[in-house]
Amino acid sequence: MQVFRQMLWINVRRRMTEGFALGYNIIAPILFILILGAITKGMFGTEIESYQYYSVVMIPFCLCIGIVTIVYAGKDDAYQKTAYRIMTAPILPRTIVAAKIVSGMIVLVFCSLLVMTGAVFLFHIPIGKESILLVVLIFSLALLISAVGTFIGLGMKNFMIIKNIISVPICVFGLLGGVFFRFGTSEPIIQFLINCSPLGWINRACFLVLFDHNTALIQKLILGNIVVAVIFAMLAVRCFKKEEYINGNLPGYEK
Amino acid sequence: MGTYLVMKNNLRRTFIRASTYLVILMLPLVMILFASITEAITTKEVRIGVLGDEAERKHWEDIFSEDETIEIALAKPETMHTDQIIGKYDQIINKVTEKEKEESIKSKILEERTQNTDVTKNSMSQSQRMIAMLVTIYMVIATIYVSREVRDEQEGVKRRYAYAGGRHESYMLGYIGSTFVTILLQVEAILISLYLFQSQYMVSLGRTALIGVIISVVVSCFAAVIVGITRKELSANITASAIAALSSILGGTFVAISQMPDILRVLSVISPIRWIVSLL
Repeated sequence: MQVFRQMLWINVRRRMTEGFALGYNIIAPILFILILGAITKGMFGTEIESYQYYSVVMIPFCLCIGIVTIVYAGKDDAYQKTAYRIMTAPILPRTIVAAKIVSGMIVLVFCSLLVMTGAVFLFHIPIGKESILLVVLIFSLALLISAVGTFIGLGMKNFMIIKNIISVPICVFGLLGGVFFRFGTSEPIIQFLINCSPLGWINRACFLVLFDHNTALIQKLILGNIVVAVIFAMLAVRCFKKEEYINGNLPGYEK
Repeated sequence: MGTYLVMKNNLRRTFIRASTYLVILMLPLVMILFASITEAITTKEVRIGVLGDEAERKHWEDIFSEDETIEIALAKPETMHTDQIIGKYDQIINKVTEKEKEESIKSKILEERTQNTDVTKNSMSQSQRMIAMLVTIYMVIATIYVSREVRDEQEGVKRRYAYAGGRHESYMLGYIGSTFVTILLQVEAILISLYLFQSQYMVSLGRTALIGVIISVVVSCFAAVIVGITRKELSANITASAIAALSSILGGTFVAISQMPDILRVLSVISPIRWIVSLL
């Protein structure tokens, strides 16, 4: 347990001091909320303001984009030349993987809650007692992103390619999920594509909690996130390879 | 001579990779899909949700039976606010018993339909959207190509070039040249594919060729500036992605420039996408 705590602390400190978490999970959502909110001011009718809309949709989106931070963290020990020391010490692979997943989750949650708190106060987002489920959703989504990112990061061979590849589906899901602009359609094919976007469902669940006080969907999403996160965490432990873990000489990987 | 040698070497390295051809094949498909989605979502239709039963929905459908752009569906009371927020319905109507209220709701809906039409008129055309998307993507791809120069420096290739009498500027110029040629070939191939196979692409062949050249010049110079400033592959990639996203937003891809607040309309001047799509 002491080993896990120490590794957790080291990883949390590294994640908080490198630029990725700050950039993707604090600066990017703030910029997007302010710019898109300003551009679309007055276009959302009477139900919601533009800044409120983008505050709700940008936080899960930037949380998902934060997977780049976690993937990067997968090779952090090798890059810092501490991987050899960790491998020669009696540390189990599951401790290493757990420390990476939990540290990633802590950092992503911290950044997202910081932005969410600011948005709630600045833009007067209506919160009620069901809104605690939003916090739980952020925790579960951060756990999922962290687990998937760790699984990818520990085995990657080219960071630049991985980074560019994983950003594409997230941006596509974001577009379909109404993150950049909201849209509705009665075209069945487009509606089907929209329903394929996980971010679309997450955004819908958030709005249902905030504006309709309906918690059915968000509970299912939280459970789904946790289940998938556990599966990927187990896969990350199962697929852990020492020779990949100590290999930090990757194209595109730098401080 | 050094510039030419660097260009030739880079072009050989680039066209040996399968990813160069994959981009040419995949991007037109992505853009056709993008065009279809944006065509569907910028439609002029107004979607109305009715709280009540099927009879109520039929009643309102009969009122707007002559207007094909207005669609009436049954809405759920437990999700009515969310459905309006996410855009599933433009308006939701409760059960109405008075004739006057019915008339007032009808005029509101017709006003909504007129507003939608005006918004669509001011928005980008499908051709412009495709060009805007192409520029956004290639701002990132060009940076990936030019940032290999940083890797050459780290691996000592540039040092060997300098020992042979070459200068840093000629090396960089060679990289810009090879990036320009690579991107020109890719962009022209994509634009010609759109011209031939995409019915919503309404630009003439001559103008398409010219726009391809302009896009290649702009993104190559942009990439060179970004790599020249950051001097790190990862930082260049992230910076280019961020600037490309901002340029796309400010260029009017999602919201027409005429509908933006004044300050953002002024800022949109710095977006290359705004100027490139205005050529269409």
